[in-house]
Amino acid sequence: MEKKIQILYVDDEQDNLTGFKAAFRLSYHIYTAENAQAALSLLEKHPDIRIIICDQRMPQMTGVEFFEEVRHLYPLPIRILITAYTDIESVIGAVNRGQIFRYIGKPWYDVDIVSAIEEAHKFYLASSMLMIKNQELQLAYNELDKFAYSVSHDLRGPLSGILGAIELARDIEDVEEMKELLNLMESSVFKLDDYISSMHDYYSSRRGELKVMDIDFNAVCEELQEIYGVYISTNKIRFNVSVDQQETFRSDEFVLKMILNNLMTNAIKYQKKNYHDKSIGLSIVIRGGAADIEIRDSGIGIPESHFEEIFNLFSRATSHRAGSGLGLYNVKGALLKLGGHITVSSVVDQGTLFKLMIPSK
Amino acid sequence: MLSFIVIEHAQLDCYIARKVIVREHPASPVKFFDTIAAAVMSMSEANGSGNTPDIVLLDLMMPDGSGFHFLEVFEKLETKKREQYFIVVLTSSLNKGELSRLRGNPHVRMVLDKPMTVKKIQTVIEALHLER
Repeated sequence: MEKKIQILYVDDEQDNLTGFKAAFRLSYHIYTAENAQAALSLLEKHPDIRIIICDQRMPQMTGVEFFEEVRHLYPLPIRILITAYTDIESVIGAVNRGQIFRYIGKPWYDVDIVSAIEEAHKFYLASSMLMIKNQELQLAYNELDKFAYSVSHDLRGPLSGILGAIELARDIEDVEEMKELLNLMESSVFKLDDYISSMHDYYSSRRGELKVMDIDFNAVCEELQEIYGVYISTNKIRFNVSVDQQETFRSDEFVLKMILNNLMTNAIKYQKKNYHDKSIGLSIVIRGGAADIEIRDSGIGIPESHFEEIFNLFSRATSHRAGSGLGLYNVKGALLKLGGHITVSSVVDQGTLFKLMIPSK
Repeated sequence: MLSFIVIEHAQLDCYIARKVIVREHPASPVKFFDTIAAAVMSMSEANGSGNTPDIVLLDLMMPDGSGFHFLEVFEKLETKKREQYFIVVLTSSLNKGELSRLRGNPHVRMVLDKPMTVKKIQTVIEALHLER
């Protein structure tokens, strides 16, 4: 059942408060206050109050004055004034200044109150939705700004390098020299490609709804070994996998694989060059309705000062390897969707350990 | 005698800079730095290679900070040291704010769009001679 709409009724006459509460407490959750001060403290305690109904005639402060004050402190709740027709002038002014959504004439009938509340609530929902959408829009704009910035460095950077190389290549006769140039161009192309596929992951994981299904981690790991097997063995990396799954685990397979793929790629990418004992360990334990996943590598490590920011958009702990600054950001976003979390520990020059906890859906 | 300092960490861009410089000025010495710290260290210790300032090709995106960070540190060098260098920013940035900040910086003599080409290095050298 949906929660009752929370309403605050302010009136200096105790009888009115009691009457109001008696009439509407079954349909709505009613709070009552005898004066402005009591009303404000209720608003502070109960941020879920969506509608405020107030009598115009009160000893210290009129209803219009009260709403004027409330509007600045609590802009969201919808304001309804109850008033006798004699006060109509001040009410018209208040309505026109946007302080009041509706007014109800005194003496009121239940049906007027109910219809005003229902209308007010619709308005409340619409304007809250608008506010949320606005916040989302602002976030999207901020991301777009960051993206525009990274376009010039991460997309245009490698491209301009390739362009410069082509320009040079026109005058190169020597085959060996040409091969060297081609190798460098190739790694720039990889950088670009890496960036684009992360971008793709980013948008598909952000926009899509979760498709929850039974996950067999043994199968997932076999697939990982198929994808990375050749690369791992040609680079002489030991890859240890252990899976302990005795219970069903439900999650979104695409999102889960995206997380594991990103962490695997990082574990491979950030190995120390020419190190004799390269290794990657992946351990997955499913217990008590959650998956505990650990990915450990013997790579270059991450300085502790970077632990916080590696999960940020377009943040890079090192510029020495190809990377888009999107990978771990995507991982964090994906984990958020799955309701899980990730922690990192690392020692520079010794390796990195990512620990993940993902609850079953 | 001209000499060059390239502050750049992207391998391909270093390669291109080297080729272009060697083609135009085969005898000129070129130093490469892949961090700002290393470049600044070397530049503050060097005593200049003659009466022509060294040409510094500076990338904005360095592993240990942005090109702006370099310019801040450079600013703190003695005037005499600073006069030994002719700073040219080489970047792929399209960011208008960033570019106009660079153009407004008194130590930046030129801002060039990547990639480095033979033509661009010629304009750099022309500008250097014009100033002297």
